[in-house]
Parts: sequence; C-alpha cells; structure tokens
Amino acid sequence: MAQLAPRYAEIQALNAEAATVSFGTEYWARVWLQETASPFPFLLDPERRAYHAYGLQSSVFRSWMPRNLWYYVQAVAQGRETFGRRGDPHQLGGDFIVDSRGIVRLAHPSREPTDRPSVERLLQVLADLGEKG
Amino acid sequence: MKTRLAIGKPAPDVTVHTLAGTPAVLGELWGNGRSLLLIFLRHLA
Repeated sequence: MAQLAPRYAEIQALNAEAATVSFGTEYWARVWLQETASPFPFLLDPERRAYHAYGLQSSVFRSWMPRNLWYYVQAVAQGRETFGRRGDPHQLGGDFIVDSRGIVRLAHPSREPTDRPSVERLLQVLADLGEKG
Repeated sequence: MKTRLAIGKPAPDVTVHTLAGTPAVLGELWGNGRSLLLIFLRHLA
C-alpha cells in the first residue's frame, strides 16, 4: 500500500480507479486511514462476502511466515498495535484488476501476508488494457 | 480451499459498504471505459 499510494494519479491517468476493501470495523478503518493517509476510496466488507467471492483465504499457517514475523517485530518495536481489535490476523488479502466490461484481468490472491504484486506489474496490466475514458 | 478467481471470467459483483454505511456495489466501480484495481487488505495493522 505504501508503494501504491503515491502512484494513484498514474492509475487514474490509465482510466482506472482503485479501491481498498477491508473486513475491519468502521472505527479501525478510520484509524488506519489516518495512519496511512491512503488516497484510495475505502470500502468495508465486514461479512467478508467479497473476500469469499474473490477466493481470499484465511490461513493460520500462511500468516506466520518468517517475512511476516519480521513485519510484526518491527511494528511492535515502533509501538504500533498489531493484534486483537484490528481484526482477524489470519485473513489474507489480494489484488485484482477488473476491466471496464467487468472481466478479471489480474488475480493475485496473497499466498502469505507479504505476497503482493509489484506496483509496476499492476500499472502494466492497467496500461495493457488501454481503457479509453 | 476457496476457488481461485480465473482471469478472463466475469468478476464477482458484490455489495459492500462505504465508511458512511452506504451500500456500494463493486460492479458500479468499473465500466464506462474505466477499469478497477481492487486492493483487499489484511487486518488493519
């Protein structure tokens, strides 16, 4: 997210919109938005209907990979709250690109918490769509 | 094990909510020559 946010104007210039989806509560969503200054429209899916529809898994095993443990070590060292009230830490995220006709053009359900497509890959897929606004 | 979403297939059109509590249909976010990047977050940490 930190790498993607500064590229929002590029995304929009490709005739695309970006939106974040969270299963968290409205309160923690507002806290998170304040912390991250994310520019993207924010959507809530507390029942995880969209998470399920897009095939995103909740996995205890995959959530405790070494790279993610390092993330939590850093978060704790910085005094950030990481568990409990902020939601299920085992739910995995993912990234999807849907074209203007509603067809899936990129599907990247995370295999583990840090598994995300690169920003360059996302922008390339959007550019290849050649959407005309 | 959930089914992986297939490239080239129609995207699921699901109703979620805005922060204000208003229903938001994902299918209304793409169209009119505009594509959509959907970023599903983990927990808000």
